[in-house]
Amino acid sequence: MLVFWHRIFRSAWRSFRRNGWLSLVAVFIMAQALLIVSILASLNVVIGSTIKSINERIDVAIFFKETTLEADVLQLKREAEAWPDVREVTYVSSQAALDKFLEENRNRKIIRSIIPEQESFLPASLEIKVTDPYKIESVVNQLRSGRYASLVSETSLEDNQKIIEKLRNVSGFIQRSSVILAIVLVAIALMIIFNTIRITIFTRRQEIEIMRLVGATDWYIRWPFIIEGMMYGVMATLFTTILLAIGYAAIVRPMMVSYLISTSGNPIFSTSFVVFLISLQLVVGLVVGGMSSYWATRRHLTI
Amino acid sequence: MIEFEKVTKHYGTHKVLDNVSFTIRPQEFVILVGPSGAGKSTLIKLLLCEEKPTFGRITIDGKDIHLLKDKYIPYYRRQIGVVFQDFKLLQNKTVAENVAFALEVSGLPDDEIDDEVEKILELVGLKGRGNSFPRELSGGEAQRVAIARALVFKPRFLIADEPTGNLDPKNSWEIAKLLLKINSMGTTVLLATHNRDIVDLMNKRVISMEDGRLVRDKRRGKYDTNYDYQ
Repeated sequence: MLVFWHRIFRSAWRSFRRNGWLSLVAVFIMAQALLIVSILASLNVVIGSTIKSINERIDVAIFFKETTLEADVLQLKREAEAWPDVREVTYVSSQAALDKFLEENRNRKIIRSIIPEQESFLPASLEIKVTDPYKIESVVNQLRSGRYASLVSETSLEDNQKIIEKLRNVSGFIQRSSVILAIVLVAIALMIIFNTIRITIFTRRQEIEIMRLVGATDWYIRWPFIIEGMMYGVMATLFTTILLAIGYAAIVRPMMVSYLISTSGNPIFSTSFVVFLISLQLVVGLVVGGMSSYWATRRHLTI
Repeated sequence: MIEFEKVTKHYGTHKVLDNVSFTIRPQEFVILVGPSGAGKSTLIKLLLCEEKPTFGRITIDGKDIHLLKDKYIPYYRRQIGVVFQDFKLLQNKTVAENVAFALEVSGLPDDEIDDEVEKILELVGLKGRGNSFPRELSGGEAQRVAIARALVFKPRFLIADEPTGNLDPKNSWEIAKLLLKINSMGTTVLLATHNRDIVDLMNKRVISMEDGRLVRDKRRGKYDTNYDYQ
């Protein structure tokens, strides 16, 4: 059995090398398809972790309507502090919010010139820290449905939800277009490998004829072609992984450092994700390469 | 024992074999003669399981070879050596590699293959030529390589389809003698040929075919002078 596979692999490798440019084109097209599949998978992870990090902010701000009395807000603060899920509640008055805003924008003269320093137009708010990020929603709901519901104008939770919604829309669009692109590229890769194997079968037809005459089994004849197709997949995976590593180091990481896409301390791309990505490429590459050459042997190999 | 029982083969409406029956006994040497298109090559294809008869059956030791499942056909073919007029050697492999190629298919380990190849090349008179390429050989030598390759599985039957078709008289006779030698060692030989001198010199059983029919079967035959088989 070992001898069998040794010979099959030797034959496949020899054919792969002899095909030269044909092999290279097949690998290149396959690599493009894998690249798109990988970018798609990575994008999912980036967006997923961004959404998670937005949700994980432990504090939420409750903004009140302008007509709300400070006494009511303070009353609410005392009640909220008693809730089990709430760790800390801070009152930010309208004026305090303005002071904070001005402080943050102290170098921007235009803003300073148009904003009055005394009459605050910013709403008062309560900044609530919860014990567990997953409790934020229930705390906000409790506030919104309780006695003080009429006082609340909006919460930062809703802002977050809007951002998340936008992210999901963008990622949905990118995903749909990448899926189409990936399908097109995979189809092209299938056809190119099919054709490469067909040409290989044609150039080796005499050898195949003799193999049949001396009693080679169907699979002894067929396997080298299928393995050759799979080799295109393996080579393309190697190529794509190198490209992705370069792309990550050169573009994605600097971008993440400057824009802080993820605020959580963990790296977005964990080791297990990298392993997953390489396995994904390998599986796609092996399946596409193996399938198209199997298909070619079925069509063009008379056994 | 190979038996053809009322074998008929059609290609579409064209009948290439018509009710052919004969028996080849173990270790026999049978010469098949007939003009081009008489059905010799079709008969060989049927025997190699490359084609199936339209009617009738071919049995080996009582077993119908066309009832074999596809997956057993390769193993069946290893029991039958076959050589052709055009040798069918791989030009990019050496003599030894061409012979070894057949054994590799069977899954024999490399060191055993080397031993076998050496022995078989000696048998066909090509000792020491293992590293030559087919283009460096004469026609007679190339056919010996093909015979060596056909013999590596120690087949019970050797089929030679016009093996001397591309050879001069001297080389033809050398190949004929080699086939007789192989036959004397116990292998049944079926030789399809146009070569009158060889048929006459061998003095073996001759089956004559014409238009798909078996017209004569003589135990000690000569080339039939009534026909111009060329």
